Amino acid sequence: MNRVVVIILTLFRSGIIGLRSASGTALISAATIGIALFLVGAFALAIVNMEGVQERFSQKLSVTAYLENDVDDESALQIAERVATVEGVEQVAVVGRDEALERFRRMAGGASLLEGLEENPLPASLEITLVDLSRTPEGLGILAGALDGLPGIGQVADGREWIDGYARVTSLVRVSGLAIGTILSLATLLIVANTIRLGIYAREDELEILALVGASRTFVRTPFLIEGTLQGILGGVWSAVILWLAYLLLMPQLEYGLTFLLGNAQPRFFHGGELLVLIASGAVLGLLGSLASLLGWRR
Amino acid sequence: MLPYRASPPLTRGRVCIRTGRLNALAGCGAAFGALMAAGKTGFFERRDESPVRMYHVSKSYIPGQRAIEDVSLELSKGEFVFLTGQSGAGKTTLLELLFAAERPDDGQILVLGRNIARLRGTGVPSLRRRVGVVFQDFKLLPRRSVEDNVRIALDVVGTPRREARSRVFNVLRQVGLQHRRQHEPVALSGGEQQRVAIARALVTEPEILLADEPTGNLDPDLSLEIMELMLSAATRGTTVLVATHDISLVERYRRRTIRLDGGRLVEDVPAAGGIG
Repeated sequence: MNRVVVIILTLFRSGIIGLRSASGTALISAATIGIALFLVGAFALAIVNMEGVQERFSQKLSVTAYLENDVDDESALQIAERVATVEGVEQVAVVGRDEALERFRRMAGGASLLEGLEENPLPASLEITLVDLSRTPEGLGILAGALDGLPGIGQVADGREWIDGYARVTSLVRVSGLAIGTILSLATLLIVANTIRLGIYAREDELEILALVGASRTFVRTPFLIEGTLQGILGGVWSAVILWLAYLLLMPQLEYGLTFLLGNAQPRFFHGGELLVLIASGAVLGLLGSLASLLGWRR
Repeated sequence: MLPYRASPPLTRGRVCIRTGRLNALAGCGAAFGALMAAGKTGFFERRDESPVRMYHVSKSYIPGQRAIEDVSLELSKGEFVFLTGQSGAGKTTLLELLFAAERPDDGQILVLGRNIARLRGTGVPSLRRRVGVVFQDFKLLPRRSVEDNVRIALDVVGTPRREARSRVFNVLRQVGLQHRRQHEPVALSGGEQQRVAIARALVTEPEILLADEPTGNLDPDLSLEIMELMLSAATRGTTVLVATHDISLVERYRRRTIRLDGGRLVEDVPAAGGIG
């Protein structure tokens, strides 16, 4: 076997022996990483779900421009043709007053509400669909500006406020998640660094002997980096498992509140790649913690 | 009385080194260029060179108080040498200088052609792989087997497992402990523990073996066992330097004996032929 391979295997074995010999502190350290990643993961899960809703909503986004009551069908067509020339508009459909009433009746389930009406109270409207690239708050702004100057157009319902508000809530969740994640990660780094430092102290005799028989700096230090990384991976896996259990247990209880946040969208858990990122974050935390510990250590 | 040869131009040599390699080659003579190159790269190292050479070496831990003062000496290949002197005479410091645990303040030390004062980075580990060291307190890992304790010296250079196992077995047989290779050191007597430490020092077949009071914790009978092991290493070509204050051992074996007093080399008695 190649000497380099032998050395790498030896270093891994040494890292695992270190992890086992300090199993108590190592488990606490891994659990801390797990807790930090659980909280960060919970925020991330909320964000991916909310972003999903936002995206789906934008995909379906259409703008309804209500026409004033004195606009007849012919004028309505002319207005529709002019709207179709606005930048970003894909399609414009005219919904006449009768059709509007018919739709309302269907939506209300043939309600008796409409029975007493002598005259159709609903206005005609234009349903405007935007091309993909314009389904953004900016695209909606351009359209609103163009509709503003057109005669015969009354109220415009474009859902922009709703999207804006939702985007603001999402970004608030994201920023809070980032802030909490950063603070927790720093605290976790300190705990990992401390655990590794304890391991170094516990194995000082061994390190002295290694130095005496000609072990290189890398040979002495690498097992501690491996140990830290393994703690991180362990913490990452724990956080993924706990998140999944929490998702399964809490989802039914939260359904009502979630309907408000997510609309009709079905909540989802992380997929494989996202879980790997979570576990890799644990590995990186563990590695950085052990690096920090070694940086302050002079043999 | 003193068989070492202190080369006079060495004090100038330090100036040469500081002014750079070009000057050394041009102005200070080919011998010094070779010495420097040897210290730096080992490229000019010759087989017949003494494995240990010290020239006017001084070392102090506290300013004004020298642990080693102006010591010059040379050890030949396969030579067995005692280093004696009272406690605090500088024996341990001298050994530490030889395996680069300490650096000299003044003078030059060449160990296996490497200049100790100039060792950097990977220089120290690669030197130590060629120098075995044995201590009074054994320095064994208490929770690892005898086999693991010896193999650690082979692990650091990535010796393949099968080869490592057979070398560890052979060296343990040499020290008579092959049947105890699975035991932990705590289950062994002091003499056996020291034999494990010697096995660890010898398993890499070092060119130099340094021992600091290796029999200090042992009964006289066990001390003789340990001495025999180190003598046999010398007969196989390893240069052995044993620091001891046990005069009875020195008198028994009548090997070359260097005596330190207050950090100075005060006596260098050549071997007179005796037991072993």
